[in-house]
Amino acid sequence: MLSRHFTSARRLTVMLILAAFAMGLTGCGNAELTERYRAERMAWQVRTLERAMSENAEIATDEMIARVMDGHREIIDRFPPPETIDETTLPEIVDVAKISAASRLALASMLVARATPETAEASVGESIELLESVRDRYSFDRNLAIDAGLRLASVRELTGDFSGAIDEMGDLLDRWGPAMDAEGDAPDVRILRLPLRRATSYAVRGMSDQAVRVFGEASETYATWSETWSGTRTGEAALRMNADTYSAQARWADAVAVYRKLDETYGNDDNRPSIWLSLAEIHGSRLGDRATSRSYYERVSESYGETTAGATADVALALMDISDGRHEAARERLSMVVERFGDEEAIAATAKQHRAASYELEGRWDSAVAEYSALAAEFPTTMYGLAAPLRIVDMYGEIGETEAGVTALDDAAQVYARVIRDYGGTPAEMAARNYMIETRLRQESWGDAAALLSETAAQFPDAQAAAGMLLQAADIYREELDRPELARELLQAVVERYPEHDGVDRAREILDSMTE
Amino acid sequence: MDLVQQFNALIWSWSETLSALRRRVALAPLLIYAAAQLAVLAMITFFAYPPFASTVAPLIRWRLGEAALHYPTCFLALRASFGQADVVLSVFLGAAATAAAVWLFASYYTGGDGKAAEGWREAFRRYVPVVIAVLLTTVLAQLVSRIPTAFWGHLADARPTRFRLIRMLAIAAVLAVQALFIYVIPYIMLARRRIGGAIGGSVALALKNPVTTYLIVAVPTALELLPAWLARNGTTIAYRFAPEGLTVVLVVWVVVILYTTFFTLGAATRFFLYATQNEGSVGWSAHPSRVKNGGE
Repeated sequence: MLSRHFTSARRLTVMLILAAFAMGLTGCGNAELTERYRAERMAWQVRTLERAMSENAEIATDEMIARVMDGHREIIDRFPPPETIDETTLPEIVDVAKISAASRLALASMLVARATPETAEASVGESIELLESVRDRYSFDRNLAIDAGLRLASVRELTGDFSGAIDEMGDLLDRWGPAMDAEGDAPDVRILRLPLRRATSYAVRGMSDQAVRVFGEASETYATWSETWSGTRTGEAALRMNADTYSAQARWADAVAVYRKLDETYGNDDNRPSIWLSLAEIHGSRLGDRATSRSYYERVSESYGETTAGATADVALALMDISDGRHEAARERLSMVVERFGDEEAIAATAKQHRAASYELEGRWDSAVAEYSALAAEFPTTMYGLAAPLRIVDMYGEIGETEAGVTALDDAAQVYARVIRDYGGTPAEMAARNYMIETRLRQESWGDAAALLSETAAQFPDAQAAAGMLLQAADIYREELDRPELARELLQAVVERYPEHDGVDRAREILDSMTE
Repeated sequence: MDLVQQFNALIWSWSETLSALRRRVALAPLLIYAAAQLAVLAMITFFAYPPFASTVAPLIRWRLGEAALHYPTCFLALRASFGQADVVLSVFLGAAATAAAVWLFASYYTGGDGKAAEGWREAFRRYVPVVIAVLLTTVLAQLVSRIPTAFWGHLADARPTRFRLIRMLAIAAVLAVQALFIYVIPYIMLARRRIGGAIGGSVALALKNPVTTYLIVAVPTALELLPAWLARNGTTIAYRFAPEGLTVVLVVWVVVILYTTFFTLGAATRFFLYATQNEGSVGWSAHPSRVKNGGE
């Protein structure tokens, strides 16, 4: 029976094709699915460009950035805000709306970031329009609306519209609660931070009367939230924000009271170390109560010694011992930290630095030199490791060991040369170059110092210090090496490449004087 | 057959298959199957567009969940969705195409000039046992291939090298299953055996000539390693190039499968005819020229 219908391969092929199309045509399409697919595809293409630029800064050209912005504009034009979105709306429509809103947010940020003095007004205007559209038309999505509101506040603050920014924050606080769910298990940090952020904005502008009032309001808001959401993670976060608010006002006793309440009500192994460290810090540095401070540090050290909080507490205790003259006990504690946290460079280097400083304070120079040398050798890319070789030089200077100081300078130059060579392309390279320049200047090795300054400026033309380095190199060529032609070249480079730099006027003056 | 004879038979079977390829013997049914695979692949790739948005999309959602309908996840899930569709296609259309190809190979090897239409006619005449045979092989192969994840899935993250080794062993086991069943369709199509007898005959023949049989199945499969590797690295392709590149990978895979199937079936049929005729226990009675001459 079956074989009669399929007597040839050709017939079978035709039937297969017909069957496929019949299958497809039985439905009448799914426009929402098609639309979402198109939106997701367009968004992916834009994201791919953004990702490529973030991975490789060299391709982040104006043309590429314009392509990304055009991509966002295309999405925005093609997918306008939805009329209404409620629980009956198809998920495909909601997804498209979110894609469009995400493009609006991204384009708004790019417009502000790329604005020039000439385009600032139009760009900021367009940015605000986009952000307002997300805030008002996409309010079905909490995250989008809050993101838009926060960015609006930032843009308004940036453009000097302070009251607009404050209003925006107020609107957000009126519209959205501090929890993302009804149970309060998901605190929304963005909203939780707003009362404090609003108060701080007044304070940094020197509007002290308003700041006092708004700080008070912030504390009240946090107290209300911690009551309303009592026993939940949102309540805990509100209480912590309240403590931060008191700290920001330097109301240390109130801050201590809230931290204690936080400890009693919500304390657990996850948050206790940070609560106790905060209490120790406030008691020690702000209230001058070293005994209580020490007891909190000791509690952290004893209960959470294996964690980074424990290491922080141990370092703080060691510093207390050092300041009390108990160097041996301090160094013993610091050695334990190095032993336990040898793999965590920042912690171990800090502990070693304090051990070296302790020897130095005791006047045990050889031990101090040994400790600083070990610090530079073992942790060459850390802040303390990089500073150690020159610290040895300073130390010899302080005790009047001039000859040893000269040798130490040579050693330092070798260490920095090695870091520059071995860690090229990392932040450590730039730091090592700075220390190397300092070393060459101290050695009065003017030629090397000037060459290194101009080489570093050429290698890191976007660094904040680049123009200053060129100026310094020019000074050396002029004043120490009598090479005015090289100095002129560098000064001209400053004028041409860094016209906005503070030193440009001086560079022009020197150039003029050199011409005369 | 001793080991040397088995290798000789293997190389001879492949050379005969190559000569069949030069004359484009049995390509028609396999091309039709490949065309059907490409049609299915196109339907899955364009699931978001009419007319497939209302038919294929719900099937993908049913099998792989809502995430598989989002761009670019749909392309990352393409291998899985195409794989599932291909299992169904291979049982219902692939079985007939295989049977027709076996018949056409046999016709060529025995000096006949069988036409593609005749091959299809013969295949559909024995469609039910052929489908059962393919279904059985597929189910067994699928079960064996799932053993590593089912029993040693926890090693995937903890001991990835060991897990990879287990998976390679499982692939070897899947090939062994396929090797045991490789002569079932020749037995059904050419020796007119019932399904039970065909399975028994296939297993017996495979065990009697394990090296030849295993290599007939395993060597062409090695050709699939490259597209399989590319498909496994779908995320890299999607992120570095374009998600649509994964469709191209699967198109290449379909073409590779066309040729691996050709070589496997061609060599298996050639060896089957040789082994069974030499034994004298099984004759091939389906070929028209033999029927015309009164058979053997």
